[in-house]
Amino acid sequence: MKTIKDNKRRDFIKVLGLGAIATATTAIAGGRGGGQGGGRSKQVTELTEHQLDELFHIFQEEKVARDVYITLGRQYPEEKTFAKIQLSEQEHMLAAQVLCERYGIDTSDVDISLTDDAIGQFELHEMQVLYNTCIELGSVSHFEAVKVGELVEITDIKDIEIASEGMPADVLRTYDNLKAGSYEHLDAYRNAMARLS
Amino acid sequence: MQTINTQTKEILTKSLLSYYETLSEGDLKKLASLMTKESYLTLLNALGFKRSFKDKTFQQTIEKSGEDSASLEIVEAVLSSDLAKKEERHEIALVSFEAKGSQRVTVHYSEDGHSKKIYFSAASGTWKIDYNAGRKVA
Repeated sequence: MKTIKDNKRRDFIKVLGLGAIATATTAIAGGRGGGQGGGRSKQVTELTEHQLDELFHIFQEEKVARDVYITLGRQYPEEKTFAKIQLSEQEHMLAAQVLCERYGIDTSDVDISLTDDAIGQFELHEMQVLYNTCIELGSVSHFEAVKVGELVEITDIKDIEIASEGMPADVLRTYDNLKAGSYEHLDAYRNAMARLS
Repeated sequence: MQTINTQTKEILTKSLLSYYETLSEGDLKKLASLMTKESYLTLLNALGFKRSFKDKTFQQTIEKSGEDSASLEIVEAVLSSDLAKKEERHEIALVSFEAKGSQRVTVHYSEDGHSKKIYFSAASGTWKIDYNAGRKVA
């Protein structure tokens, strides 16, 4: 079982010092669209079929966190943490999408739009289950909503750690940035929990 | 363009319907047989999120369930009971089949009128629900 260690977290934040926008920009600069063939940058290495599948899955999963925070942010407009973090989650999702495209993974059939009809709607059953559960739990109270944010971040960090295993440096850079962002979100939710206690 | 034969379509349709039926009944043993191990564990995590949220011990148990069969059995027993109590039913209607390679198919369907899809992959001639098989392969 993987555990989250504070020193590891601080290392990530200290070493990287980057946000998700920087991640996306770096990824684009590193060779967006090159995954289909000739245009690949030197940074891009071959991934196994399993690694490519995981990459695509991580991208699809990023929508869950974003949509949960959008919906809970609407329910608790006084809680600014949701508003701030949903923007960051949108950037995480785009960073993961850029990485997918870089490796030639077609993401065009995943609806990541921000229309009211699309938010909270997931074509994949397990993601719909997760989203529905988060909203059900978060709807109980303002405090519970923030606590949902905390558990979503803990889960995201764990998932990224697992997905990172065996990945090449360029993917790890993006994953590490996503993880550093998640640790920052975790801190923000824990601060909000302390404030509300 | 790859085509999907009638027999495969029948197998996948049956599997999709069984997926929802086993979830409704809380029959996780049968559900596990329909899915790849990795996808099954992912689903257990999603189904167990509510309990993990409220119960740290359960959260720790579910985290171990991928590697520890005793933990997996505990998680399955708890979630099976939860699902059976909820007895959630959905209206499922098939829409289309999309080949994503010779060993992958995405089934498009609707759940209570909402557009959904589920991924399948074939290994050793057996089709299984595989959450990671959404990517098109050669």
